[in-house]
Amino acid sequence: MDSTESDEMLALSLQNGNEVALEALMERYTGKLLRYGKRFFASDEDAIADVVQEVFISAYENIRSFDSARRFSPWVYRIAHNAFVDAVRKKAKGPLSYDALELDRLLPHQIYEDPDEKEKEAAEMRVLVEKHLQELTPAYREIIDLYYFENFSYQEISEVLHIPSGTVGIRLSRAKAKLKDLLKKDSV
Amino acid sequence: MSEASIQEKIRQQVLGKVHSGTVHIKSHAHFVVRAGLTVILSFFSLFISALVLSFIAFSVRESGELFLLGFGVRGLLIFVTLFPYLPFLIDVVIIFALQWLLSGFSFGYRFSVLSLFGIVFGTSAGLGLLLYLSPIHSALLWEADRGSLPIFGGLYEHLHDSHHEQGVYRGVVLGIQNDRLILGHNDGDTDIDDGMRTVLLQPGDADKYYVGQHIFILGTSTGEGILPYGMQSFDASPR
Repeated sequence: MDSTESDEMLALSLQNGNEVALEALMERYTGKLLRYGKRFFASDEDAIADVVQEVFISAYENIRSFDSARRFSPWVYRIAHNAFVDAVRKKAKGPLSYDALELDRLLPHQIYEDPDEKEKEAAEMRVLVEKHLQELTPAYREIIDLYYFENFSYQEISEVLHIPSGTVGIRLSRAKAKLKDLLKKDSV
Repeated sequence: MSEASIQEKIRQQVLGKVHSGTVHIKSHAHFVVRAGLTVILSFFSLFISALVLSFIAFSVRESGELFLLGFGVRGLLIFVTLFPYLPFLIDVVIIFALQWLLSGFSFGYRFSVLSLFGIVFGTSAGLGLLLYLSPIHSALLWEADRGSLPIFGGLYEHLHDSHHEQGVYRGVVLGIQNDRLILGHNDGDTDIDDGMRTVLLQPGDADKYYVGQHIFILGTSTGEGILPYGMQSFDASPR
């Protein structure tokens, strides 16, 4: 399989039954999804591996629901998000372990994405997140990860999390504020 | 275990399931049918929600309970007591279910919960208004009064009940004697609240009424008759 082929081309090929395309997609996404899983299960490697396996199987089964005119990455992360949230809930044996209330979804928010600010903050966020990973809720860890590390836009995060773009902005700014609070406490 | 070996293990397990045929790619038709069913279910839910909302509006009008709002605090309290809560709760459940269905569509999750609720409720209310203005409920009521509307017949048939225990009476003026009205209630259905009652009027009020007039009353039953707190006449509907 040509390594220069886009994810979308590979997905299209898989839709036509070419299983080699699945191997190529797995090669590209296994590492990313294992890292993404750490935002939900910090150190439980077995749990993360189980969920990632489940994600690939679900992506394979449902590949014909993927619209190859759109980006593959938010689509597969949407499957991963659902699988990890389900796994977190099952493990916690309670429905509220992953911000299930999602109160920030209640009202509409107007917020604008600033790519320059994103670039400036990315390095700082990487240090902060690694240092304070365990002190953030999974919802905040996830949105920081998708925005700064996976480099998704608000629109793509909206597709992954199935929340309005304005809510993405609000949740992201709250996550950043929380991280900065932790940094302040650290320096005191 | 190193990350490389974890990755290899995942790769082998997924490919093992694919090659063994344990998992397979779902057909395009599967997704088309699923999306089609969701769309049909959404439209069906929207229609049912609109139908229930229009029924609530129709029942409040047809039962005469809307007049209670003009009868002061006591009327308002009775209105709250008699409000058709069951259909209202059913409609709330349908609207939330519809909202959940729509949030699965790409246009659905782009709205906040309240915005989507507003859109769903607004659409349902708009459609409900059209149904309310249509003759559908009057036709169903006509069938129910004749005992020929199955399942939902009871809902319609009871719209013309008097609620004596709440002090709510309705009927047609059969006769006027000095400061008293003889009120007859016959809603043409199969229930047993039909009969004649005496309504005590304020001195001089008798000439406001005529035989054959339909009247809705909120009042208190005394030994001599009904002492009205509020009275409202109407032409033919509600009966």
